[in-house]
Amino acid sequence: MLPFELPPPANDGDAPAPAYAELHALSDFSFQRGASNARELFERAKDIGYGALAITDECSLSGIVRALEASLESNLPLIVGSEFRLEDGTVLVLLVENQAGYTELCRLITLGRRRAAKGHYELHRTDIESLAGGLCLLWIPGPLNAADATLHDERAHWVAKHFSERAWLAVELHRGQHDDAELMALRELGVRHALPCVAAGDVHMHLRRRRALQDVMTAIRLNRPIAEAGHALFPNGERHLRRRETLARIYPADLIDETLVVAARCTGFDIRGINYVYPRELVPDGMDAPAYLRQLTYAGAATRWPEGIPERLVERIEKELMLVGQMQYEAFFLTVQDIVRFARSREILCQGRGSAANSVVCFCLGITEVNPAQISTLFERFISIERDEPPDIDVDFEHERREEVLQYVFNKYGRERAALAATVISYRRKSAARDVGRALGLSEDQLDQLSHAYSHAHGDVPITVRLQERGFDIGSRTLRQLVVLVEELNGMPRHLSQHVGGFVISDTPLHYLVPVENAAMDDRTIIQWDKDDLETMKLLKVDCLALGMLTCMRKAVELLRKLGGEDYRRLADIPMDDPDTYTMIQNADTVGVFQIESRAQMSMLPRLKPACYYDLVIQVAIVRPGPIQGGMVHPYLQRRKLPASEIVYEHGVRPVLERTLGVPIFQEQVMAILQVVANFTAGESDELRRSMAAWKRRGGLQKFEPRIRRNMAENGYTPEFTQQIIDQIQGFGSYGFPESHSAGFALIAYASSYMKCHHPAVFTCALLNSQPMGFYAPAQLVADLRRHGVEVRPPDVTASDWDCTLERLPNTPDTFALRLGLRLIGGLSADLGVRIVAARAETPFRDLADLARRAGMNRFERERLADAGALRVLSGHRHRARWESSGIERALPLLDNVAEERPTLRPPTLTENVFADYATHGLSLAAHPLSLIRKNLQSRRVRRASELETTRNGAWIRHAGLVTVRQRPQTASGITFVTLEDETGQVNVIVRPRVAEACRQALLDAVLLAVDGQWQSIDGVRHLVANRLHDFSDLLPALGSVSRDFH
Amino acid sequence: MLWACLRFPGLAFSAAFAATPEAGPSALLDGHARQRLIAAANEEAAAFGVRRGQSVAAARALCPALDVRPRDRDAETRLLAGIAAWCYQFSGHVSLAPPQAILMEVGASLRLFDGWPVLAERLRSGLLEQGHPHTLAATPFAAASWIFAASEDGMVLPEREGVLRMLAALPLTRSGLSASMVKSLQAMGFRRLEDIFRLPRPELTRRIGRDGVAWLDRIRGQSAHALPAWQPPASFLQRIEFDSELDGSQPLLFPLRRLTRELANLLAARDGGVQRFTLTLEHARGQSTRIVVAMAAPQREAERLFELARTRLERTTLPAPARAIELVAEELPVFRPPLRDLFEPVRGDGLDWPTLDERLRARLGDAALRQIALVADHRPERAMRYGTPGPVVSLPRRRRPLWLLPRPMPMRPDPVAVLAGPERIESGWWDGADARRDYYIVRTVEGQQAWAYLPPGTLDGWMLHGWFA
Amino acid sequence: MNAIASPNLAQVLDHPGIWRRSADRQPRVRALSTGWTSLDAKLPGGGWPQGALSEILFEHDGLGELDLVMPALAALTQEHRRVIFVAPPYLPYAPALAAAGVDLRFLHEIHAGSTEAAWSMEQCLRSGCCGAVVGWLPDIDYRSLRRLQLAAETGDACAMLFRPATHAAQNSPAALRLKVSNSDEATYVDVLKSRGLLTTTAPLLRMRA
Repeated sequence: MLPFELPPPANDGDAPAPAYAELHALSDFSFQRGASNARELFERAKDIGYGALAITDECSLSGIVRALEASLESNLPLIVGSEFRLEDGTVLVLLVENQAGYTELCRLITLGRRRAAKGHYELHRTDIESLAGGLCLLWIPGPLNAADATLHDERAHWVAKHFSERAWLAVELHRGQHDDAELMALRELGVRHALPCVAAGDVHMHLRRRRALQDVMTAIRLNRPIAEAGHALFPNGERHLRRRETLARIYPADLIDETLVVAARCTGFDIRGINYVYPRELVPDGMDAPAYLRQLTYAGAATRWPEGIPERLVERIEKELMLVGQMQYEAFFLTVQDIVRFARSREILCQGRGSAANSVVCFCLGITEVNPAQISTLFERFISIERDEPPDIDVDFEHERREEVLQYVFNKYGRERAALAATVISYRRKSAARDVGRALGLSEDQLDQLSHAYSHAHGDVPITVRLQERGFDIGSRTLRQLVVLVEELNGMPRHLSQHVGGFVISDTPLHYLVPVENAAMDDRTIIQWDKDDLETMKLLKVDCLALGMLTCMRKAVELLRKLGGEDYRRLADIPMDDPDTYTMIQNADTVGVFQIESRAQMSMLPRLKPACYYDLVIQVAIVRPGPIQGGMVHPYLQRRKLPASEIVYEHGVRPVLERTLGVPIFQEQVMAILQVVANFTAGESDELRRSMAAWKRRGGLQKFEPRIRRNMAENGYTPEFTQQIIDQIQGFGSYGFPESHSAGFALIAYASSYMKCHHPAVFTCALLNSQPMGFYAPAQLVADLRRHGVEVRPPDVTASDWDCTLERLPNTPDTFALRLGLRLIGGLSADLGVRIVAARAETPFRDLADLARRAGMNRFERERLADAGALRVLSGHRHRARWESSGIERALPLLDNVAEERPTLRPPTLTENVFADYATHGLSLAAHPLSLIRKNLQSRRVRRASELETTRNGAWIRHAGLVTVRQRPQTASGITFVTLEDETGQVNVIVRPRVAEACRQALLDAVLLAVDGQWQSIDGVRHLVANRLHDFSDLLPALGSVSRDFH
Repeated sequence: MLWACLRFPGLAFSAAFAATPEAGPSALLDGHARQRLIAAANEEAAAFGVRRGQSVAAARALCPALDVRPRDRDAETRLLAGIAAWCYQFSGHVSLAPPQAILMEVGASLRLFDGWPVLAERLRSGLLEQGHPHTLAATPFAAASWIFAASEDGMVLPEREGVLRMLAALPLTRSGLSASMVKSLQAMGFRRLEDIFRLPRPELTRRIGRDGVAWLDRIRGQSAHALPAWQPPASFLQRIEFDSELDGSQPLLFPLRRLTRELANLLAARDGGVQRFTLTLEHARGQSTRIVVAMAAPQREAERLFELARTRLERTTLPAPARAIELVAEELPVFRPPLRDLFEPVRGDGLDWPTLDERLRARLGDAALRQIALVADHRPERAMRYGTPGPVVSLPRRRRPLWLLPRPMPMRPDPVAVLAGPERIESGWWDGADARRDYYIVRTVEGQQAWAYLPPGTLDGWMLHGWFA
Repeated sequence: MNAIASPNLAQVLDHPGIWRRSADRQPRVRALSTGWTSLDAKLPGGGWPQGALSEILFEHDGLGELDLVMPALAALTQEHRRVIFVAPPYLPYAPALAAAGVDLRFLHEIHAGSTEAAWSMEQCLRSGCCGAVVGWLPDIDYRSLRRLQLAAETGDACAMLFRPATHAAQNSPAALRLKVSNSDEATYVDVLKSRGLLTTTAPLLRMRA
């Protein structure tokens, strides 16, 4: 019946290659489906001569900006579209013809996504029927068989009815058994319903060889091993971008030609043309945005400089306003001003940072407190706007109250017009290894081992070696495949998450611009683009971030005001340039203050000796991976010791580097140097900056390096200096810290230092009430406060509030003791604190039963308070309190009638008290645990922390203490930093990898760690370099770990 | 009354390692799925510093070669019941005290076994022979025996006064009270049982509840303690899953010995025998090998049962490594001498399938009888397997031949017509059998319909893979 | 689609242009419908004779000879009755069997040499617990055929024996003998012998085109 017909040769070079446009292709933003990224797809499509390429991710436009970039790079037209599977099983692709169609597509995706839980969507036929014009529809009938014939007729009828003249029947053939018959049947179906047929590829990868990764993705999606994925896998690799010659053999010419007809209708649309407008309602009637911004700025300036605005600042303001006007960013500044104004009206402390934030305009608008009069250098350049880049303003708010700000924004603009930016969560090697390993059928146990091998704490050891160390046979097929697949999957997007605080606000509903979907958190919506996408599309984002120290500072300011002290309602009200504060900072007496409290920061303070605000700006930025890896720290410290006249600058760089003594420390400086020494334009520098943020994804400095070398050579710089600059840029990598952010942080660092210096009790009290935050646990904060001579009192139900409080001391005016709050006792709720305080306010507690009844305490709460020693006034010692609290029965009214026998109970020993204190609130005022075993320690030749103060540099000693911090920073090449605490102070220990390896268990597990090592004490920087570690925890049984480990 | 308590501290460990003897450092894991910690470690592991309470990661850091197994509570219960079966010969009242203890009333048996020292010796040697390290104590009160078995191995206190004296000095942590009660009492400053024995009863009850006070009564023999008596079950079913696949019959002997030993224990307890039991070895992909061990007469000796099973197992060719072993004995007849040969000729009609199946296997061998199952795999040769068919998987809508050649062979002469195709199949890179072929339905010169393939992109080299018979 | 995907025998056999016997049944023979209407019509009892031996003699592999028995076998397994394949020449291919409607849980294969195959087939037939036993015994002798016929009677099972068409001329105790052959690219089924069938010269059935 069928004529004998052999298959045509596959690689016939003479076969005609018709023009073709691919109308149905998924990128890796169809998560766990598309196995190639937009760049790969476009490069391949360009190589094989396609006329256009549609990116049609499933119910998503989250990959479309990357597709746009790829399209521009490859110079191949992009068709914007999306694929949908309706609830009844119908599969469609919608392609955008024009602006109106794009808006409709965004609306449809938003509709489907908002209806379903995060990661899913739900759409019905009626939703498709309601679409206005501007879209082409491809119906994908899928494989045909007799049983589905009526279904297909019905669907074809529906499509034809609702989308006449703009609907096609997509024929997708992938070398199935009956392609010919299927083609024939589909054509008949098309004729019956007057639907033109068009060829399409259902592309899931750019090359056939991505088949393995595509199979892995399918397995990940199904959450089973590939070997069990069965028919969910594609039977072959045909879903790649096939050569046009190949397509010509599969599809009749008219179907291929038809792709060009569809493409011609859709390639006219340019997504860059979407019309983003900033909200206008902030401007009062009868005024325009520029005028209103000017009015607010000068009004603010008048309060900032009551004696009159300095002349040079007026000039500056005028220049800035002009730039803002050129870019038409007035509305953006007004929005930020509005948010900040709201925060201030609620007394929520906030602080702006970022290049635009440090403008005079922002200072006048109250967005930042960084006073331009203090450091004029920063305002030489109003950097970002001159570079044609969206203004960068991040605003930090008190972490406990940021939600109020977010809800204000949502409420003010409505959910239609405000949403958070997305963050694309991408695979990293570790997560990729887990997923690939699971797909390849490895056991959970092996997956754990894989994660370890792939976790990045291993420096430069090749992965094959690490796998071998973990017992894997890297010669095995599975492992060889795994290593390759992990590299392929690494960096691919996995899902969308919400940005930490980046808002996008629009004048028109957001879904006119970009689809909106549900976030994992209730009451949050996110747009489908991330911050890079927003930058490309020139959408403005306001970052509303949460900062714990602002919470602390507000609480401190309020407390101080309540106690009758100064009123520092704004950070700017705190006196600047206070010598006592700087002396404290130089002595590294900075436990608890913002930023400069970490081990690394503290060890730098005595060397850098910050003496003014700008020194702090440097201090904040210099102890960062960028400057450390770029080798900037030591040169800078050396130059600080020199007189200014002896510092030599390479020609041209002096203006850029003078403020940091010739050593580049800030990201902005690196950019500026390139403009001076390598003739980069501002735009090119910015391109470099952006690529730095994504070097992992886009592959390093290579693209720029030849130009830098060539131009610097032409400009007469030595190869050594050139290399130094390149190393520095390289070292900055993605860790470069901008001066504009450092300036904001330094202000908060100074303010918190000032508060600690002059009001230590107030500061510590506020800090304890803002926990958890910062580097230190309450025990260290309290110990530090006591070392500063402030009395600390234990938690007590007859005196403590939920929060910590200050109790005025009777004899000396304005001196206070810190009363620990009930919040320090683990396991209790704030609600209980409220009940206790309220009941106590009525009338003092008669006894424990009275307290329990009036504060409505359950058994757990009673016993917890008893164990914490907080009942001592009512019940006596802990044993007594515990006996009484556990004797109170649920039937409270009867209690009064029960005459309990009171057996004599043994009072707790000091050791028991200390241990109980640690178990309930992590610190003890009675004694330090080490003082309890000091004799034993002395017999083991252990020296106290205080003895070490006077120990000579280089001495070999033994010290032991409670481990309070373990840290292994990525920048420290495997060194672990451990902080030990005894009854006399803290000692910093440096553990090199060799010692860490040899004494691993002690390092990881010890609560009480003993260290044999060499004492180093240079320039006021002291630490103990470990040679051997011993776990002495057995000396303090029952003392739980107090350490904050490895953050 | 004299209650002996046997405690098996290593029981959880043995149960988890029932499949293969632990070789090298090994440890047991317990806890929630999210945070599983080391619950026990063998001596070799302990020598590396592996300790109870460590995370797997921490333990592996100390000892990379550590073999860890999760705790298997079902296996523990079965193991404990197996030991109870063995103990049944010494006492008519044996009671399980999970997770790791057995209580038995031995007062009534003392005379039968010539007094406690002899009985204790027989218990101990019998248990050690079976590989169960244990501790043992006996007092008139079951609860007190349970306590002392944990802390005072070998203690026998036939008199009440002695028990009370010993109890008084016991730290609360060993009192058998729940951990939360002990913590609570310690928080009030109490350390030993005597501290709370002297407390007024209503006040104490209010603090540790009726259960706690009742326990204190029970250990002092102040209230009766009704212990459920264990009864030997009517059939035997035990299964051991292996962590890794065991290849060949040799490694299977260890679990097999364990299973036959358990079976013998049960038979001893029932005073019965077994005439027929089934060993099932499970392989990958749901395949399994079934070995029927039938005897001319009921047997009960552990060694004999093991030998019988071993011979049968060693004669069987296993198609694949085994993942689990199961022993089932449905009928446990009264032990009596054999009356007739099991394999005597039977009348042809009215057989049920298992009997027919067994008869065929007996003559043809296990390998001769098989079933065919579907596998969801695009590769034709992998789309089926021999083994027990599972639920029907999705069928791709493609035509497939009823006959598949065991392996494709060159097709001579070339087909005369292509009826359908090509159907391209590219799949299977993950297991080393990556296929890449274009399949066609073709007609031969004789009018046969065949399923044949070509490598993609070629015109000749037809390979025949099936017949549309 | 299916017309191409799988030459639908039912459609071919039931085509009005093809000879079809009237539906009156021979009440004496108990039979199992073949699933092919026009073939049923030609057979006494309307199908494969139960408790008896049927022989299918075929010229070559791949003419559709198994298609002939599949509907009946599928029906049996769907009723949870066992079907045994004894010594099949190739792998019975699960995807095709399942597509034909066979419930694989009730299909067993016995892998055996020729002597053992005949013995196995006999055992299965006699046991009384098999619905159909299908064997491939090319070299079976008359005596053994006779034993199979008897065993089928004893166990009241359907015995189906596939043998090369070259044996067509030999004498056989089978109740039904069919021949499957090919001519002009089409497959024909020829009823050689049918116990209880009155006509001696039965026309050919054209089954696969």
